[in-house]
Amino acid sequence: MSYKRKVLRVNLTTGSAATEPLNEAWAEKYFGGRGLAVKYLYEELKEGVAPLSKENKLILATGPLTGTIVPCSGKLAIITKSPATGGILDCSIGGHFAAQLKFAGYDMLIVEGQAKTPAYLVIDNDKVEIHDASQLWGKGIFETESQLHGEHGAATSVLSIGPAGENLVSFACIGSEYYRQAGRGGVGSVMGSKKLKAIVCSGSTGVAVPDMSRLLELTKKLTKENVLTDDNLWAYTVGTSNIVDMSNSAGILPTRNYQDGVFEGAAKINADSIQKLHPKKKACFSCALGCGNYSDIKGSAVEGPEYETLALAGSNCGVDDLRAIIQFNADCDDLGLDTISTGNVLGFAMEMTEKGIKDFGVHFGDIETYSKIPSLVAYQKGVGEELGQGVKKLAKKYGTADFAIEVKGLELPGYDPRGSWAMGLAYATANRGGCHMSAWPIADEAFGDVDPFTIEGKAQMVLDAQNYNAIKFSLILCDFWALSIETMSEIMSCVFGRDVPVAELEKAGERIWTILRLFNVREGFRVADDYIPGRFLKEPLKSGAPAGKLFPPEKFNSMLREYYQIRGWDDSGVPTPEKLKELDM
Amino acid sequence: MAVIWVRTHGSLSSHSVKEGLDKGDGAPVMFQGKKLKVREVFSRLHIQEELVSFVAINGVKSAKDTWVTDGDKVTIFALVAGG
Repeated sequence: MSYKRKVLRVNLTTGSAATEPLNEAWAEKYFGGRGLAVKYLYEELKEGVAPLSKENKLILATGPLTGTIVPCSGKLAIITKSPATGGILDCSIGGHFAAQLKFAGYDMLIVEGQAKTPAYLVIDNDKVEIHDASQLWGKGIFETESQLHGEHGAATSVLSIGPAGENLVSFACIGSEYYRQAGRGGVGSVMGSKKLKAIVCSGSTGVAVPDMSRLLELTKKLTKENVLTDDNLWAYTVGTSNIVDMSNSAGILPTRNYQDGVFEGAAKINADSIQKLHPKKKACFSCALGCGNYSDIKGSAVEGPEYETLALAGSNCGVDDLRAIIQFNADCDDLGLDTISTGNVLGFAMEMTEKGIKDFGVHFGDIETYSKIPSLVAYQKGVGEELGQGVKKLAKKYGTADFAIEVKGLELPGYDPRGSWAMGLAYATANRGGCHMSAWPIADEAFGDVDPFTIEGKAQMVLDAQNYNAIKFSLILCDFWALSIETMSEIMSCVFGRDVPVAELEKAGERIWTILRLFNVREGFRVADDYIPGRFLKEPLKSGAPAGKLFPPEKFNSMLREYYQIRGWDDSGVPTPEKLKELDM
Repeated sequence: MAVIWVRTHGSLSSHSVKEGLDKGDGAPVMFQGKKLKVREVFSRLHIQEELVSFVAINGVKSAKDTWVTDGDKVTIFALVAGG
């Protein structure tokens, strides 16, 4: 087995650090990453714990493939209770931290409590120390990481927060290697609430597998025949910026707070424009794809911008100035802000301003005010204080829920569901809120040959994708590797040294999705929380291929009912006892 | 003789850009007659259809059996995963 069989538990209130055996019975059923960490959080957190209180926990989890040579296995899972939604939050972050944690000897790190004064954690194999971070508090992620590398060595991996996390902004992120983020749901503010500025990690042990030569052969074969192939290489050649033209052509590119799906300035912010900057390539640990496009314009260095940033901080704000978007992206990375939510909340504020509902002083396409927003939000100054609460709270305050583009309190990413109805269901039922990482039916509908405007078969399509991603992200394989579950089975059988059949992985995927749901059910989430924004149900798209289309409410409700039925949940969206028994839960 | 302008994206870019056919506005594809089905463009550029996500004609998503005519701009997108 490739586990270290050890969990590191750090309590910031008492200043203690201790190791304990990994719960192997849970690891058998939930594998690692997202699944295993959510199982731990579900068992350890009481109902109703405030996300920003010392009772909340932050779990950093590796997977059974972390630290091995299996391709695209370098990411880290971060699990906590979300300050944005009050429900479960699962994030992942690329880079090298996960491998370092495993090499240090741990499958998982659980951070509890709250430090009295700013602190940072240093893990060097079995040596674990809590250091004073007073000198780092208030600094951006870039400077924090740079200073910590200077002090603890350039070979260490660092996770840190910026001022946004310190100031408890509801969409603060955690950064690593300067340009990688665990972005969504306010995970950075959970770290900030614990007064934990950073975690520095280095390890020097290895990861054992039953038959190294077999794994080496399998990795060589998979890399050649399954990874570096035409259906994955887009990630290397251009990366996600390629999706700008795709979304725009399909008429689903969020434009001016989702008022339209075609942006007249798309050609200025697409992959061609980014390629003219001659970006350099970066990759995570054990990744052959190297999707990171690193650009530096007059000191504004970023990886990307990725599609989600170009969509939400670009077209959604009416901005077609690539340099302004790159600067916005760099500021968000340094200040510790999620670019999706920041762009979404800003587009929302722009629409409220232009409709005369509330003057936030921001207008679509106005780069001068746009460029000041990340700093105002992160430091909670001026209009930033209100914007930092997120779209849902602003909508409640100003009575503008119909054009508040969020689900469960999480701002939506860059795909308009009026042009992809299955994506609407995926947003509504994603456990962490409006999210594109649970299921991405866009590929089949808006970008494929499946009719986006029917509901037949869509509930099953979304459910299958959610279960697939649940196991994929628990083994911790990158989203950008389009591999079959049969290939996952082949990999796991090799790494575990026993047969890991497809059926076992499929059942685990459904079990993991269900434990995520159970977490939210315990917090009171029901059918009323599985919604999509009113704009999509009432206002037709204006332009492009899906012009005139909306998502009819009766179709959405019908799809949701069918989804519950197939899932084995009752009408309120709660898994039935029979389903739990079937899943050995 | 008619001509259409074809752009290929993502991992399909080697079918036009890297061969030097696409100078920025797309690679010219010439054909006899007044119209041509998009699927035939794939074969002319040696593109396997199963690697195509979708096509856009003059910037709008269109079916793969759509006819294109002189002066049309055709964009062929490669498969993508994730977001």
